[in-house]
Amino acid sequence: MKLIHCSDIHLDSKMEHNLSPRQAKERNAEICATFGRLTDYAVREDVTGVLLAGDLFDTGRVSARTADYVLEQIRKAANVTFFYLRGNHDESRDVFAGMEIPGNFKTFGGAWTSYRLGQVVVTGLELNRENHTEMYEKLRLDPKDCNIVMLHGQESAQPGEELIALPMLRGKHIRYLALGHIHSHSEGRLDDDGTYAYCGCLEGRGFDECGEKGFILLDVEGDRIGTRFVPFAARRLWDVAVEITELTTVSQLQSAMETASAHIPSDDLVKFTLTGSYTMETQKDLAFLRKMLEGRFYFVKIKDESRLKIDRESYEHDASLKGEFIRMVMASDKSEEEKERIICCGIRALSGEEVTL
Amino acid sequence: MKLIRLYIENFGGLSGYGLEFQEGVTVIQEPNGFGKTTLAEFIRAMFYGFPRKAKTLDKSRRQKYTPWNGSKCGGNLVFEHEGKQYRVERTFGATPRGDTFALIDLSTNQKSDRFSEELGLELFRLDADSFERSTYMSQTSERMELTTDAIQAKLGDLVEDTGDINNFEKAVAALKGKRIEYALYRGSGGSVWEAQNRITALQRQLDDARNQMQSLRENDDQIRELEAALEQAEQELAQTREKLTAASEGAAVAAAKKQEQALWEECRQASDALTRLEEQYPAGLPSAQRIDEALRTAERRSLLKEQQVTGPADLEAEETANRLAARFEGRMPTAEALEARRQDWERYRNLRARLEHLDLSPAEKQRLEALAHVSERTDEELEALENQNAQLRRLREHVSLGAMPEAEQAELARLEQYFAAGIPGEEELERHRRALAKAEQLRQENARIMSAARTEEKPGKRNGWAMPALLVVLSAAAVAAGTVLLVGKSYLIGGICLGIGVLMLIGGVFAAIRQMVARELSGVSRMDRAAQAQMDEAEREAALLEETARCFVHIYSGAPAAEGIHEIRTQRQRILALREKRRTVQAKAASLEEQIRTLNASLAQALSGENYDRAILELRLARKEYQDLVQKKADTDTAREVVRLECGKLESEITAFLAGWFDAAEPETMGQLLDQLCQERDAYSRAVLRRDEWKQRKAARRQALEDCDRKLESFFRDQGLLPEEDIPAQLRVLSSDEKNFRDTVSRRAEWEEKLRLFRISNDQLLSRPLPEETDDIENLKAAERRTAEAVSSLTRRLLERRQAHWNLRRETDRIPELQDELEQWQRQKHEDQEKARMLDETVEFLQKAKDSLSTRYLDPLRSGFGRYLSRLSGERAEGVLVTPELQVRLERMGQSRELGYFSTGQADLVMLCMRFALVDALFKDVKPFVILDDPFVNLDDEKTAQALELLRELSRDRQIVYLVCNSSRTM
Repeated sequence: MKLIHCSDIHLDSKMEHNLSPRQAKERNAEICATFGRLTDYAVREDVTGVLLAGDLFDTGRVSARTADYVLEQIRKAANVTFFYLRGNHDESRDVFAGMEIPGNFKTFGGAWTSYRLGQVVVTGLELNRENHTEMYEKLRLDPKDCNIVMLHGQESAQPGEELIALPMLRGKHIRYLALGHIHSHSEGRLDDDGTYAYCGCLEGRGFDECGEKGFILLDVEGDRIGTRFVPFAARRLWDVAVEITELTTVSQLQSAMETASAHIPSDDLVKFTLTGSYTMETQKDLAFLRKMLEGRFYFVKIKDESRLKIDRESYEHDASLKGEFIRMVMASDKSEEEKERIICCGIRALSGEEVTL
Repeated sequence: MKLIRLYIENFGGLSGYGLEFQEGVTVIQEPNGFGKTTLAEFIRAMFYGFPRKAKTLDKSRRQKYTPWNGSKCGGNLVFEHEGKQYRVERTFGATPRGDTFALIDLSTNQKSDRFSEELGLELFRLDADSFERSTYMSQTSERMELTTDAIQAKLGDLVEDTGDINNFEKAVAALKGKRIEYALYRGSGGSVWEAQNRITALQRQLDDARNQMQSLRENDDQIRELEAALEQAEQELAQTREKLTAASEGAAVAAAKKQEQALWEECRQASDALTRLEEQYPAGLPSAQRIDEALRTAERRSLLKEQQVTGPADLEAEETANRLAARFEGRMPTAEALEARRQDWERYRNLRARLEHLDLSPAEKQRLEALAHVSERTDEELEALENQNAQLRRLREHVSLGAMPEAEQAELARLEQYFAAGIPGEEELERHRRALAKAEQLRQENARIMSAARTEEKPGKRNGWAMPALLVVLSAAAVAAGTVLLVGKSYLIGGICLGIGVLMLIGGVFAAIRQMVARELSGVSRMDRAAQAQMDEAEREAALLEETARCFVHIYSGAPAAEGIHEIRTQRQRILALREKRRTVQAKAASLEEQIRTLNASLAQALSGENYDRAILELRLARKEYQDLVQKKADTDTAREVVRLECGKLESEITAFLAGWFDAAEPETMGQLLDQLCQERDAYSRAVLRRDEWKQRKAARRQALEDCDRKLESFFRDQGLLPEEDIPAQLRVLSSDEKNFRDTVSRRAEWEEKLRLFRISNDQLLSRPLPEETDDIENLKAAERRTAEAVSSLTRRLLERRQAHWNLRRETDRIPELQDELEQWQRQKHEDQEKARMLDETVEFLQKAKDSLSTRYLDPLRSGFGRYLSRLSGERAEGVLVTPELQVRLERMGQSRELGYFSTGQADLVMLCMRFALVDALFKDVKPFVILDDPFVNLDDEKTAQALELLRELSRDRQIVYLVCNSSRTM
């Protein structure tokens, strides 16, 4: 028997805020389509059940179009049972209000609920303020069954409203603990009988979600469960650090960024983080660089974390307006970042160059 | 600090150059191109080196002073500081890494670590740029007058002449320009304002969408309530329908039994009806076909009986046939013969009508009588009259043609006027001609004498023509050459040639005329006196003869004498000829007039009027018309005779035809009798035809009645029935009974089949006993109807609510999108506000920096400048004031007066004062040397002397390196 463990799809989610409105809509549609691809995959690979371990939606405000789409995909995959456990982002219980719920769509509540699929028993509970302490005691599983437990929360040593105390789940005859909440894939040993896993999200939405994204495919044979992570995202997000300390011209900067991102497919989203230091002479024109790299990838963002290197001594005895200006700014109580920006701005203006921010 | 000496190994264009500095002023007088600026730069480089990290984009300084030959660049400089002498040694590589530095303490000849490589910075506490801007003064390229305003500006600039202060205003403008892209300083505008507008609009849309959320929740509550109510109503409906089913089943059993009874009753009634008909017709009923045939026969019989065979038209036809039988019995005219006679009659009538009109019209007859007199004139007579008239016309033409032409008459009149003084005789004309010939002869003799005299000239004198001829030839050549050159577009030379040619030609002509006059004069003088007297006599005689002839000619003509005599002779011959012709014509005209009078009398007697042509023409036309009328009358008479004969023939034929049916036929009644015969013949034919048809109809009716009676009798006999009086009615009743019998048989079979099928299909119901008392079905139905309506209503309301739910969802679905967009705009607004704030702060820092710079350096600069100015002007130090606004004031008579301006010559000196004041202001601890690069190049000798004096004065306090290229400005 094959099962899919996925979570944190975050349909109807906000996108990376630098995306254009068109791209944001396109990405939202792509994430929806990824869920559709997942159901197609389940049908094609003869998967018996899909474990949706929370955060199927991003907020309580789910569009009717998305809700319809989800139910329609589930309805089309009639031979696949979908186990939907609401996460902290699935705020609303009325997402599917007024809609016909397909029979292969199973949900959970604040109390432990179990569904049987042959020898496999899928048990789940939606964490809340009331049940997060006593749920561990109330979990009763038959050791003869191949038990899969679904929960959504942060792994922890102690129980909490959004915390899952893994030690308290040991010895509960759990073969596989399907967790959601963490957007990166990770697996670990729960106890002698079973393992736990975060499958991560299906698609990265912001540059805090870089790396491979996908789901875990479970292969159940008797009471043994094999797992395999399946990368499934339509696009990948990358955070590429570029050291610019030794670079002065805009061509050098562009070349360094291109070299650093040469291995990245053009369909992906890339954030370049400029690191190191630069001088007043460094031609760090971020708008120009972004323009130059825009066509290379689906989306390009440049984050400048480099620091202006000012030789205080070289201006200490400079009896000029520039020297006086730099001395005054450096002596002010502004943050280092603000000082850099003010100095760059003022020096550019004094040099007759275009003022860029 | 003072400079001691320097040695340049290689630096720019200077190589192996050494220099000892003086205590006060060190004058370096070298020609232009020596490298004074390089020297100044070397001193700077010794203290500061070349910048390792350029603060500016000027990175060419190292390249500029590195020798091209690749030899080592550098040298050393000895200076004294705090009583110790040091030698700084530097070499410069292609890059800062190749630079070397060494500081030697000359008291120990050991390397010193008193100063590091940053020697200048540590010594002067100023960076290299500031050092260079203050201690190095180049020559000014232009002369200027310094007003106090200019001094103010210059002093400000000295402080702020940092290479960027000049850009201060531009920088602030650029920053403010950038700032207003985000937010205007006043009013609405900028990206922050636009973002705020968008935020407001989005917030409004978001509020609207959020308001829909409450409606959505209320709507969802209603949905849940309706779903519960619907579930309850559907349960009630199901219960009612169960009861209704039970009650309906009982009712169905009762209804089935009732239905079976009704079907059985129908079968019984049909059997009874058939029994009654069988009793009524013991022999059985005939087939419907036989009854229909009998009925049709009976109805035909009735029709035949009622049918009227004889009508009034039949009787009238009988009467007509009898009446006309006497006329046409055995002698019926054929239609063709009758038609032929009718055509004859028509032709006869037309011929008679034509005969009446076949004659001359009254007007023609009247005209014929009127023209009777013409018949007396014969053609010969008319021809003779025409001949006479033609002759008369010819005679008149001869008379008119025989007269002199008008041109000759006019010419004759002109000649008569010409010779008004009388026509001269031929002898007189000959006499005058001979006189003129004699005068000519005399003159020719004189000419011969003159010619003979000229032939005696000296041959050399003929050479007088050589010059004109030569000039003409040369002029022709010049003109030809000029023309060729002009054609060849050499206008100037061609024009000159042409002009020379024209001038030569004029000269040649003038020479020729001069030669001719000279020759004439010389010829006369050479004739002898006798010949001259003879010539004079001959000339006088010739003149007299000519004058006589001229006087004679002048009577008739203005022409010269010889031509005049010839003209008079010609005109004389012409007038005589014309006069002769006029006499001949006049004689001939008289003879013709006599003949005309004779002919005229003859024609007047034969014709009326004076226009004989017209009279003869009218006479001929009348005669022609008369002949035509006579001919026409003869033709008419012939035609009348032919018509009259044909009429007689036709009349005989028609009368003979009519005699077969009428006693007598007159020509006047022939047409009427033919019409009557025709009408009566047609009437007789129609009457006979109708009478025959009537007889045939009567026989056929009788035969049909007999057939009908025979068939009906056979029918009734076969059925054992007695015919009644109204047989058709009897047969119709029989037909109805037969149909009724057939229908009843069919109906009985149908009902029996229905009963059988009903019993089969409702076997179970019919087998059940009748149910006991059950609920009232109607009540149950009413209850079911009410509940179903309630369910329907709830379903409808639920649908409406669900539709409303989706409508509201569509609105509320926009909330995340709106929130995202709102957040984006809020973020954008915040970022732009931050940028605007940062730009404001940048401007603020720049302004503060500028103020700080001014405050730090301007006050020392001001006081120093006043001090130096008093030394320059010879004023007391306290007598010269420089205000905080940098205005220069001098104390006069105890009052502070503003100095209007410094003269042009003083401007450079004032600038020198400023520079020294600046050095004082900038260098606090160590007084540096000052390098002056030929700054007084614009001064005159007096001012130069004054400037040099000032330098000496200033050199008491500091070391001055004075670079100059001209000995006049040296010290």
